[in-house]
Amino acid sequence: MKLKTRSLLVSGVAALLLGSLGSLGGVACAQTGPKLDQAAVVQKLLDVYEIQNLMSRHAFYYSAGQHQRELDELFSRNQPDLSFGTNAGYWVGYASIKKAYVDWFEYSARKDLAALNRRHPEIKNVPENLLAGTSMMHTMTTPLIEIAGDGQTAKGLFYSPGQVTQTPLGQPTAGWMWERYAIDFIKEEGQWRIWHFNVFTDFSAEPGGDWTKQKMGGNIVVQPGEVLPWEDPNAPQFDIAVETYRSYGIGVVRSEKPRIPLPYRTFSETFSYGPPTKN
Amino acid sequence: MKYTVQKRFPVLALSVLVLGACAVHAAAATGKATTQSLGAEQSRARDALEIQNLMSRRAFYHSVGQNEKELALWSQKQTVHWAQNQGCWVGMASHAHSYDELNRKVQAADLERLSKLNPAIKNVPESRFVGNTVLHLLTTPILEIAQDGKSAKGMWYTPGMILTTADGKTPVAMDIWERYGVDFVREDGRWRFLNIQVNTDFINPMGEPLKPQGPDAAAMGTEGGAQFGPDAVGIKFPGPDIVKATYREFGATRVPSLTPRLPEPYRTLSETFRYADCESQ
Repeated sequence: MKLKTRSLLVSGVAALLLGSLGSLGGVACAQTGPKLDQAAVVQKLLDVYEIQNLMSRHAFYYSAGQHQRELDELFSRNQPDLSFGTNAGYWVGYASIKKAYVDWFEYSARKDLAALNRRHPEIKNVPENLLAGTSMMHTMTTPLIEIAGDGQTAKGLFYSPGQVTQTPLGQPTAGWMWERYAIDFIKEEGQWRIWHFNVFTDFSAEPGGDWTKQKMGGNIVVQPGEVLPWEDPNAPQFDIAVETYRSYGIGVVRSEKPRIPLPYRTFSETFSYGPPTKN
Repeated sequence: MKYTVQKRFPVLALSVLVLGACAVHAAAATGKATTQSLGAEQSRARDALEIQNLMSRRAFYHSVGQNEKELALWSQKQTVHWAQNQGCWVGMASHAHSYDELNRKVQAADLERLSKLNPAIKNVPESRFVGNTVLHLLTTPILEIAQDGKSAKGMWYTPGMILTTADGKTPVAMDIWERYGVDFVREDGRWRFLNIQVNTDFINPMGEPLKPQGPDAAAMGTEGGAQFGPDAVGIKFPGPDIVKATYREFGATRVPSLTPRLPEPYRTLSETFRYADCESQ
């Protein structure tokens, strides 16, 4: 009798143990099998959506002249090779980018307002009128966003048909400007940030103009002693001056520039949109 | 010895029983929490896609002048709002009167006029909106889905074109750049428009230097239902229910602003601002 009871107890415990292990295993399997794949897919979808939001915020902050806010809220805080690239070169590092993208922009805006006031005295030269007569809309379209397999970085490519209306030397000047963005993103403290930023200009032209023949701003009158903002020798120089992209021209073969992102596992296994490294 | 083992065995068995039950329960609880958060994130991703589709569907209906189909995409249960640079329209009845009823009358009157000017154009229903195409592209999206999943806010740049004709023979094109601020609600499992604010930056004849923008720039935009071109005789478009400048079109003295206001993450609709709001200070 005692032997039978013990056997029953042993069998029961064994069954319970096996059942518990099985349940644990089943749940573990559920967490590592189909459910984890589903979680990875959902995370990827959310990452694409958040990166799209990030780039759109860049566009809207830019349109309001809030470049410092872009640096504070949207750009990486931790990467020493944070970079800002254009057709002609790169600024590298936070301090350098701030000097070119924030400080020089604000300095130019003050100069433009002063010039606008000289030509149009009804527009007062006061801080509240900074960027008066300016309208800059760089749209984000045709997104191609690849999230790394490890979820820590991403690459994005966008077309950006835009209109840029400014007041260089106090003369309102409207223009179409079509560009493309190539960006490396990095996830810091759970938030996506811009890491390597590139904006390449394909063409610019005034409304009604032929961009195969003219550039925006071709009709601006330059008085003695004045200099066009984009020809100002005092403008911050690139940290790395190198032609990275060519605007439209009859001798230009477009080719695949910038490079088109492909799916990748981790950043070390893909190309970088960042500045060239010294080799 | 026999006695000790016999005494301890039931205790051991009971301990294993309890531990096993705890393990099963903990695993089940963890699995349930993971499933719940995964479900919420999946819904959020799906909602973003459905909202983009809703905006795009509206754009495509609008491009062919079928504004009545757009109205079917709006909330059926709440008071809706529509705003342009010059003010707000409150409630579907008010919005639909200008946006659909009068718009269709203008379309009919224009078709009759064009058919007289160019006999190649027949005044038949199949010719509705002949010589017209309106393109409002959707770009630069910011979407915030409420934490409770019942509402959402979105903002877009919309570079566009209005292609039309004044005489049924000569094409006329305008560039028009605007921006949307939109509130969405989820009703019976479907996303719907609750409030739409469309602010016009400029409208300009294509191929010409940018002209000074007047206060009628926004009214000329077909978002408001008024057709570009000669006004149809006897059809008067009423102004907004609430006259209030929600935005100023581009001008040499205009300082750029973040308008409409950018969406911000939020928990539930009552805790965030409203687009197309002409009542608040």
